[in-house]
Amino acid sequence: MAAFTTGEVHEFQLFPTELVVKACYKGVRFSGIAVAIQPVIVRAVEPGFVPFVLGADWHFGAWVCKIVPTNSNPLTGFYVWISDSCLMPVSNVSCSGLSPRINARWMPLLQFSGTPEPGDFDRLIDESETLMVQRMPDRRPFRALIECVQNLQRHSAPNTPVEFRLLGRSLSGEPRFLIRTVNTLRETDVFRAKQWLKRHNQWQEKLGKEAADSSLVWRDLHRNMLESAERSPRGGAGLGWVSMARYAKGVPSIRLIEDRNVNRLFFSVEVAC
Amino acid sequence: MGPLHIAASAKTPEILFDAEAKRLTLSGRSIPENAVDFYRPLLEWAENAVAETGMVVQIQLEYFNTSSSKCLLDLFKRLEACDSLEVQWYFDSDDEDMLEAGEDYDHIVGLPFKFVEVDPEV
Repeated sequence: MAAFTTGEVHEFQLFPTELVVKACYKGVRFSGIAVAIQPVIVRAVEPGFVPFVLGADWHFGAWVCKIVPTNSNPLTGFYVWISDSCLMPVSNVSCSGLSPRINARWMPLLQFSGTPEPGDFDRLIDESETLMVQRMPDRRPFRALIECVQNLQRHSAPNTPVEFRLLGRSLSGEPRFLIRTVNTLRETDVFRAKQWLKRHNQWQEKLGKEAADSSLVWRDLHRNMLESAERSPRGGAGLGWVSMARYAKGVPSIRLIEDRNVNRLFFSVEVAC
Repeated sequence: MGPLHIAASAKTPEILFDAEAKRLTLSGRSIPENAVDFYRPLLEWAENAVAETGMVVQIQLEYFNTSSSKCLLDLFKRLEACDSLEVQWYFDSDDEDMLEAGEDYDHIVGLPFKFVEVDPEV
């Protein structure tokens, strides 16, 4: 599936509970409406437009729309990135913005979407701790969460929206958590983030090839980085990334998402623990 | 060495140096977003602690973030020059991560570590 190929968005309107989009890609016009970010319903199609199913997700102050035409149009999977949309209040962000696979299994515990104000990150940590500790005495998930939130705090571009979601589920009676964050990268961090992602992918390959015990690999890596890394200006030395992996169940999913329209990069982290 | 006391907050540990007992204790949680600022006074204090002999450093932390972990390493590195210093690393018996963290420091720095297991129920 092509990643964020940007079509020409003719018009979009954002209402409290629905998003209307009219788009054009390679001369073919599409339109549809997503209702309340819930499982998508095409409610109206104007003459001259090819109907499509609109899968919408809310990311850090912008909508990401997945256009899936209802006919056998080869454009299936085409994404439209609609930037510059207005911010929605937190209450309008629902868990159903997540993929159906995740949505069906995970219960939202805490979410934040918008431009954080002073104290918001501390509040996220405090409230998350209450929610996590009351479900699970194991400190690991909360340790992963601290790193995720402080990563948001440290690396988000100033005065830009961030997204944070904490979800929970029970797996064979054991509590599990999913932490998801998205932030706009500072321009000065772009190179470093790309380099880090490259290394992260190499570590994943190493884990896959050697079938090694991942906890030992991450622990060795953490110790080596702690011993040798130069301290970054805010003191973390990149160790937070490795800590997330160390405390997670499975390797965290880390992605860079590019918005070509405005030449911005977003950093997305998903950690199960 | 004179006494040192930094009160605990929701995100930072209490730091106390008992000059009479020659005991430096860090207790609580250490998750400040900017640990470098928080630990600066302690690290400056440690610069002058090298003349001290027979000192005990007790680490009784419940949580610490990665930013703090580097500052702790800086602290231990500065204290390596002290004579007869012992680090007492406290960990809850059900907290393997905290034990491993102490073992990592033990591996990295040239200070004797003593691991003190604590029953969290007590």
